Amino acid sequence: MSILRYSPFKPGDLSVQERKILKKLTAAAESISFLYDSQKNPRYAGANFYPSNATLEELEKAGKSNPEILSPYTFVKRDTSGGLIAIPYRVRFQKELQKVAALLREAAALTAEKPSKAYLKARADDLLIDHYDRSNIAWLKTEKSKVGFIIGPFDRYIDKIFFQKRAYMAWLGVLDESTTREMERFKTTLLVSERKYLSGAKWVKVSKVNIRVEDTILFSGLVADFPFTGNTLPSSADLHLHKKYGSIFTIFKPIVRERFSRWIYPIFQNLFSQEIQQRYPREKLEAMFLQSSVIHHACHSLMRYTDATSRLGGYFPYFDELYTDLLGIKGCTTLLLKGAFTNEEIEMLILITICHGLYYYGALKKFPHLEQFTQGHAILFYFLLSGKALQKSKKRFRIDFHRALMVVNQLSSIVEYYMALGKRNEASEFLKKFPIQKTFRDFNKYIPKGEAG
Amino acid sequence: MTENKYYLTKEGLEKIEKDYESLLELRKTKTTDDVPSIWHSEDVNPEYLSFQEDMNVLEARLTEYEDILKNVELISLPPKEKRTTVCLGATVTVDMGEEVDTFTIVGTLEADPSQKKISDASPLGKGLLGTKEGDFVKVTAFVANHDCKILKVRYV
Repeated sequence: MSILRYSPFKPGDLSVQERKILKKLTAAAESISFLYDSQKNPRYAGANFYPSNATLEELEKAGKSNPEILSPYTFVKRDTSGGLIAIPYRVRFQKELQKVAALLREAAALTAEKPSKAYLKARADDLLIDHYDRSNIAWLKTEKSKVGFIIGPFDRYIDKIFFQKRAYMAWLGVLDESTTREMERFKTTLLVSERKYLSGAKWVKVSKVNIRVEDTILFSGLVADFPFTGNTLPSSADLHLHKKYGSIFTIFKPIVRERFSRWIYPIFQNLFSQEIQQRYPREKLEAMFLQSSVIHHACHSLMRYTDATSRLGGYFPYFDELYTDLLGIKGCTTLLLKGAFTNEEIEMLILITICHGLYYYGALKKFPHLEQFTQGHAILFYFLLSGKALQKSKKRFRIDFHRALMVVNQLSSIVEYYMALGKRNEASEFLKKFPIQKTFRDFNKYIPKGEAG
Repeated sequence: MTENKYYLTKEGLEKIEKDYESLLELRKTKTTDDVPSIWHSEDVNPEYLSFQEDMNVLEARLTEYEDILKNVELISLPPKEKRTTVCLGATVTVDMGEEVDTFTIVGTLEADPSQKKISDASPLGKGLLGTKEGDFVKVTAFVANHDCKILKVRYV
């Protein structure tokens, strides 16, 4: 069962009513993990969405005559004559979804908060029709609600063929108001510029980007399998909603905290010299790691090339995740010029990006689907090493920040081409030049042993 | 306190004056309400120590505000012939290569990049002062370099 639980609250922290609501939502979220477990299949690029013997060409051809084949909300199976048919999620999981919908309606009846009530009711309806625009729009209005709750099929990371099929996921958390306010201010400063888009590319501007920092109680489904520090919704596949209604990215405090203590900081200590370690105290690095999560998710909204997924297919997330990190660093250099970021902060952001790359490599064994994130970092590491921004000195590494920024600038131009105009076959050829294992093989000893999370 | 000049817009000055009045009111309230006694049996009263700490902070803030008000210079509209030049108070639209940015250059006290107000002391603020519409300027800070073209200068 794909479920992760946290206990951020003592019994007295929440009212009796709040605890009743959370109990219903917890039960709904837990149910979703069964649906996700039916979708995932780490042995096959198409997970359980497509028959394992179906070729890309066969699926594309079938999709032309029956668009449901490539719908985000269907399983593709073979019929008795060996042809391809589509089975909607709402049909396959009818019984389970009806139970989940009932729990959401019960939670809605208990909540007095109007936006949450409207959202839960709308989501209960949408789960049964495989269409989520109405409840996504309602969810965007819960931006300030105390309880943060997501349930449904949204992220596409386990469909590595088309990056199309959406996997079930759920999270439940409580808003940390003061950290949210602090990060909101920072996010606004970061997103205040108007970025230019590549000539000839199709793009959409996101109307509004909001942030929530939450004390998470539970992850279920895909988000329990992929331990993200944050998540942006509506999905990047729903750009029509981004354009008109904006998006919210949620930062998950327990993941940020755990990732830093168990991985990022130990990697930092192993990788870099004593001199570098003394220059950047742990508390400042930890604060910057939270900020880097905000930067990453804010920058997901910065550049939205509308047809990137259809051009790049399953390679989209490889480029998207890398590009977001690069844009984040570049965005912060602009903040430096405006006096809103310091030299020290830029340096820490670069160091954390490097350590985070090694985390993804270390986590790849337990979470093979993190390949999409690790590949991007492999590309960055290749450029940092060959550009001599990162160099081995005795048994550890030293960093040249000037060169590192030059690498970021150069690489972001290359990656932007693929995001804006690149096609699947050329993306595939490009990625082959940066094999993960070869790039990271000399870094194994810097990564702590133990369970990745 | 050293003699610094504090550049403020009219709105900024009004806010500083309002905040100063509030602090004066707070000081009056604190010193006219029940002030804790210094001694509690044979020891110094912890409530008094806390009160003393609060008053020290308050006095320090009042001194800061008084220094600002004594040395304030209002940012005013430049003469008509100088309004294509970037001075304090100018709202500037800049092409920075991959992005276009619009912000107002203000004194450090009012700077708030989240509200598109940057300090005249920031690298970008310093680099743009004295430039004109159509100029190119290179702005550098530590590891960041940007070639900027000044697209528009206006005064609100």
